[in-house]
Amino acid sequence: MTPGSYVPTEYLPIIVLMAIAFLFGAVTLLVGGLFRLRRPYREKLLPYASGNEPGEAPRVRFSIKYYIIAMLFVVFDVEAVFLYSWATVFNGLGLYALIEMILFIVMLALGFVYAWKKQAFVWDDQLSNPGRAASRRTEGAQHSCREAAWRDEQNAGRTSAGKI
Amino acid sequence: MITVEPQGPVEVEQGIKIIPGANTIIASVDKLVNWGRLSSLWPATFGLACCAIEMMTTGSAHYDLDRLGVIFRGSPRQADAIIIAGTVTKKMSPIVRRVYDQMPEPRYVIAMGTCACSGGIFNSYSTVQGADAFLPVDVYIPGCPPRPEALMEGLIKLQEKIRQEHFKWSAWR
Repeated sequence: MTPGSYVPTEYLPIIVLMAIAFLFGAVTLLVGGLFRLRRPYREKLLPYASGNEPGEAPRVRFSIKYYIIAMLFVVFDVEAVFLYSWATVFNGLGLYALIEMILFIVMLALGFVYAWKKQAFVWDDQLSNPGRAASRRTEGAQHSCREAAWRDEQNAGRTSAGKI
Repeated sequence: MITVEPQGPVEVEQGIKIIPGANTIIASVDKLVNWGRLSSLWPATFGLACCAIEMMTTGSAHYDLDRLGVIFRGSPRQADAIIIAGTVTKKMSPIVRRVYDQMPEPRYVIAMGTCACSGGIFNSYSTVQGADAFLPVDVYIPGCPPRPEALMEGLIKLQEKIRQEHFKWSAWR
């Protein structure tokens, strides 16, 4: 073989497999789309809600803490990947590599301490639960939202002496 | 005696020919598609009352609907039949109608039990006198409740109905 003329033909079956997998899905959808009956009307196009009229919108707002956890996961997971590869060749490398890896871990640990101080690891606290502060006024506060709501309802008309 | 193998296509059923030597079956696409559709009838369960217990029994091991190709789907979007098993009350009827509406065509309705067929023993202010008051029913299965064998016979009758269909499966008609 002349230099620069290497063609990796051993990987050809993988390309064929990918093509077949793609065609599997594409041909099914295409042929189905050609032959399918098309009779849309309002009730058929409603989102399925066990037979009821669909009520609330499917996309509700959710807390930002999920995003923060995802970001932290990505960063520390990539760090873990590097640590795994380092672990496989640990014996062959010398002191130089050890110090370099320790510096790597220290830099990421600084980021960890920053996240810690910024309360990124706090999942549940007073600020994220606005109803909690109100129900903590009474002794032995129950944790269920439903009981707190019932209690607030009972307390609505009562004086401060008669509150539950 | 020398027997001669018949050459050429031999008609075995109406519209289906077999070429003996070549292991070939010649039939219309209709028959093929109908056979595919009747052998894999996926009902959306709509068990409302006691008939639902009989439907569950028919689906389980002793009577086994899986050998008819029947797999119960939870969502009407993936179903091609709906089995109304039980009493339909007036309060429930718009919900049944909506679930039926959300099924893709071609779709079939089986009314299982006398309550779904005609209101059954309940002729009251709250019961709909038969699912065919608001749905186009294909097969009626009487019984209170119908035995599992009766439900299977109803499904087989529906399969016979599908077998006779002509070009109902495509958009080009």
